[in-house]
Amino acid sequence: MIYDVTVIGGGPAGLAAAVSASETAKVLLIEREAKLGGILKQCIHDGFGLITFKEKLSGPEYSGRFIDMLRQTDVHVSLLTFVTSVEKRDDGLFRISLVNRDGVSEVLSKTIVLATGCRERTAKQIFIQGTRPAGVFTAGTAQHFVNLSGQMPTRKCVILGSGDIGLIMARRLTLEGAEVEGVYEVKSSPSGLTRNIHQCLNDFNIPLHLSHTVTRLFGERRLEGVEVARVDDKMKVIKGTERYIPCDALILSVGLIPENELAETLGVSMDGRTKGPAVDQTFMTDVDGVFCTGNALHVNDLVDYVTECAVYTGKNSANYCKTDRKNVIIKAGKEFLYLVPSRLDLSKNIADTVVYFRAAADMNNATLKLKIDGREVLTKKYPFLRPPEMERLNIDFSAYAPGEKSEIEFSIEV
Amino acid sequence: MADFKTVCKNIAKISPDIRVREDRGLIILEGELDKWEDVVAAGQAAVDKKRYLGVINNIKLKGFEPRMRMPGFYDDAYDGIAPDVLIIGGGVVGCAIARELSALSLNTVLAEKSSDVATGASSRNDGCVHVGIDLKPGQVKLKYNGRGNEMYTALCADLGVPFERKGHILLFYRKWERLLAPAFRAVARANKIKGVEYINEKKLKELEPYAPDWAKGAMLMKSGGIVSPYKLTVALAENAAVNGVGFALDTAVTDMEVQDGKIVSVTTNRGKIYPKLVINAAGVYSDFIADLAGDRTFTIHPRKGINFIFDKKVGKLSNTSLAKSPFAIVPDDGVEPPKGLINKIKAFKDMVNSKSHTKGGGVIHTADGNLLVGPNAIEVPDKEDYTTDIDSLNAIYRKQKQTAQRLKMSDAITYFAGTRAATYEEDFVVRKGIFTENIIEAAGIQSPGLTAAPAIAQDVALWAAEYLSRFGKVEKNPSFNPVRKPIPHLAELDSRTRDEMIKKNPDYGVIVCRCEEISKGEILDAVRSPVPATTVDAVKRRVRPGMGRCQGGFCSPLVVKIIADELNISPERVLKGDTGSNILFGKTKGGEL
Amino acid sequence: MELVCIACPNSCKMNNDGGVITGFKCPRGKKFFEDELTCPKRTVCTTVATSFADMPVLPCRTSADIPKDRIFELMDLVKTLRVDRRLGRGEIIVKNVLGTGVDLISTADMSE
Repeated sequence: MIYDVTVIGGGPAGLAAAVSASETAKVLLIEREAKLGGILKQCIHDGFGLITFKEKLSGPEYSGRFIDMLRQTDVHVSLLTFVTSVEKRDDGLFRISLVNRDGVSEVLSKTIVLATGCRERTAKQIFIQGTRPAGVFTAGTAQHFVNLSGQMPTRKCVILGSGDIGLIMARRLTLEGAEVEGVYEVKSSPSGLTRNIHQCLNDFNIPLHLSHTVTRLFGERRLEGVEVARVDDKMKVIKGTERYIPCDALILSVGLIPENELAETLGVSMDGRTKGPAVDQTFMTDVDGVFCTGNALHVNDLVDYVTECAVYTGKNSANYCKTDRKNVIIKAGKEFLYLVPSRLDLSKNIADTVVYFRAAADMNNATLKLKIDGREVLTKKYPFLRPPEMERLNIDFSAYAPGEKSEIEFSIEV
Repeated sequence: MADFKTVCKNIAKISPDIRVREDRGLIILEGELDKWEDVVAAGQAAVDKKRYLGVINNIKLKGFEPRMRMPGFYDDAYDGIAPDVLIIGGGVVGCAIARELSALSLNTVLAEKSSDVATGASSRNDGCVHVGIDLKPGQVKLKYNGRGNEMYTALCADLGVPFERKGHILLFYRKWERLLAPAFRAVARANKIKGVEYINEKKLKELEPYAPDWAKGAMLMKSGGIVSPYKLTVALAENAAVNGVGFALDTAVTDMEVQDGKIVSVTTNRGKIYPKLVINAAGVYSDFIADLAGDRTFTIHPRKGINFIFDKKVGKLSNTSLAKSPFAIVPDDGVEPPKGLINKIKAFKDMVNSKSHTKGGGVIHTADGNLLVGPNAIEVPDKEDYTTDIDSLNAIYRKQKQTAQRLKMSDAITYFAGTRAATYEEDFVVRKGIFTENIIEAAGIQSPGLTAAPAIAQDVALWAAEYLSRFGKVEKNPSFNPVRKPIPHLAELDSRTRDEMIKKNPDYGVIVCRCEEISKGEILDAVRSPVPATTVDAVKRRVRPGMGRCQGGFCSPLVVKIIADELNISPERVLKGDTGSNILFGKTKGGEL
Repeated sequence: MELVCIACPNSCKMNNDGGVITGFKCPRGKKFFEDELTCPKRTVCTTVATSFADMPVLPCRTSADIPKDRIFELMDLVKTLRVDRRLGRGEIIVKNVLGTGVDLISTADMSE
């Protein structure tokens, strides 16, 4: 059998993409783990679904609803199954090699949707120095231990990085009886959502130290302490500000990176800013039939946006038929951390385009502008833009009738 | 050569506080100094290989208390045992010796203070099986390097350890530097090294498509190879264990009872052992062990080296071991290249007679397909100083980026430090006991110790058999099997074989480590192996979960669970490495019910 | 006093200087501000121990907000619980927990 769509990854993105694609297509969903839900299985805190369901749900509840929806479809689900390689055949079909408890197998598919999520930056990627003891965890690993294994990874910890998972874990560990000495952030503003600073740190009197970093680890077998120091506006350590903090764990929330190893093996071009594949408005990469969605595409701060993007991606992959591309690059200036999609394919529907972007820095009273061939066609005012808070907007590009030679350019003015 | 007075004079220049004396053919330094570099300088100044057996540098560093990391518990697990041979140290040398001895009908026990083999320098080096171009005739190092290198192909085939002999490459900066090729070949001839040849730019780019733009040719040294040093050490240990050697892990030697030049007993944290013969393969602690045995003729001054590991996706930047030739000083080194042929030859001679004790590191394609970059060399007082620092990493990166021009800091996945067991003579101490009859020293083994280990082990085993024959004939072990069945790495198998294996053992089909594509079955194999991997790090050394780009972020909770379930212990008892390296503190709730 | 609303991702910056709450985009924001001044409330999400080795803890939460100052009281209670039946998502673990009028509910499906 040849599937129309094969979705790789059964987290929130994969679930939504599979459900949405199944309306018109024969879909296979492949999940590495024994259960669907992806990272939401361990995100037991609430705050999910305010947009999608107009309710405040926890992660497992949110994914649970999609699992229920999936059960109403005829999507084939392959659990505990690992994709070892994807190869594009000469006839355009994808040959997907799988491994699971039954052995090695292959499936063929007309399109694939990469919904493989993201991974955390590690202690080594931010060049933490000193010893290499037990007790250094990424926030996600700590979260797995606490929420899925029911095990405490610390009694007293320091959290480095104010990303959302770090903030969530500060609260979670405090609730479970651990002491969180403080959250240290190298930047001068927090990386996580403001509401998480409020309900995870302020509620529990956990101090947030901006412009600070961990410079060194101590302890050979189990972590015994860390040295923290203040940094200047170039994020260089200010000598003489070092301070030793005894603790048994360092928990890192220092960024997420789209998981794109499969995309790379397929020769998909990457977007240097998102670290995910470069896509058009249908979320298709530059390899025909390869789509990418959710956090594998760019790291979202809300699962609701992941779902929205995945629903579109699922539909687009299900309805995919090869066209002669008419690509126009979408330019976004330095004032953007990134903007997705990075191109518009005029051979496809451009009316219902969704644009996701993040500002590169905190901005107040900002104006987003869209210029086509130098002509300002759209402006939108934002009272404030912050890098941790992603923005989205619908644009009907057909209204501006861009041509293949058009210049499409976004900018933000303050 | 300097006589005693000259040595005293030279040492007095470093500090008047150092006391120098001669005893039993040794030169002994005592005193206390403020700076470690002075302690090392004094040791170096005292070297006189012609007149003395070696330097005993007992100078203390003010404010520094040497601290051997101990297993962290005491019991009597090995109390009263009386093996024929006690090997001290579970590095590549100790394990190679254990395997050689397992071919004989002897009762051999290997004591290792860590919770696993290969935790010291044997897991903290670049995995190069060296050619020996930088060694000097007459060195013990050279003798064992040559023999050891030749043994590698067959040894690794027997042990099921991947080994590649693709050669090592020294890059030339200018075309005419090829005129120096004969000088290299002369050194090669003197050191009995085969397969050293000049290759031009075209051939270089065929072998190394990502060789730097500036490279105008190179010396190819065909006998150079790459192995995973810890996989080899583990394989040697497993094969020894299968053939009857006992592994006493978490067992540290703290004392010895020596009577009339003979070791009577060896005290450990796990009881007193009464061996007929002791083999000292204790790495950075080999001087401490030799001292306990009354056989010390040398001093270890630990020399730290830091290495970088880069993502497999940039593994292609080197197919072998790429390094700059010593006189290929690339302009942005910040050092002026030597001008003129004479100066270049001089630079070459300086390299050969180098006192810097590192060839400057290189860019190495590891046995697992990553790129290893480094190492550097720093003298440190602490034998187990495995700390890293950002300045070293930056310096290594800047230096090696000239060789691997497409290297990006963002592709680094990890870095680590090790300490080399350097003696002041800068040579191995491989010999029978001098002052103590029932000890054999396999000490002071630094680079190229990995290459030399198999050859050292042969000699040591021979001497051991010779010594033990006084207690009765030493027979061959009739059931000795030199072949080890390795743990399969299913991701590397063809899909039919992989499929068949999964059908027999479905756990081989459950991928736990997504970065390195390691299955639950492979992890269980490691936990159940002849030298069982009971810690997260031990599992990692054998089958690599956590060695990839996520560094165990996703798989470490799963690995902890697999170990806990298999050993039937609670997760909070699972260790990262040695005693005290627990990962968890117990249940969040429900524990008290 | 300035407050950031946690009711939804909009994270409205609100203010009651001059005695009037401003800055909210929806009634939930205003309600949140008022509650923060009088009786701050939170939903508590945590886990309870189970008797099942394949799922040693079950995610759960309060079905609605409870007073913030009772969070640790709730955590103490939760520590004493053990689920010995495979619950579905949304099933009640403790009814009217601590007399708050709010239930403690399972947020994951144990049968999956």
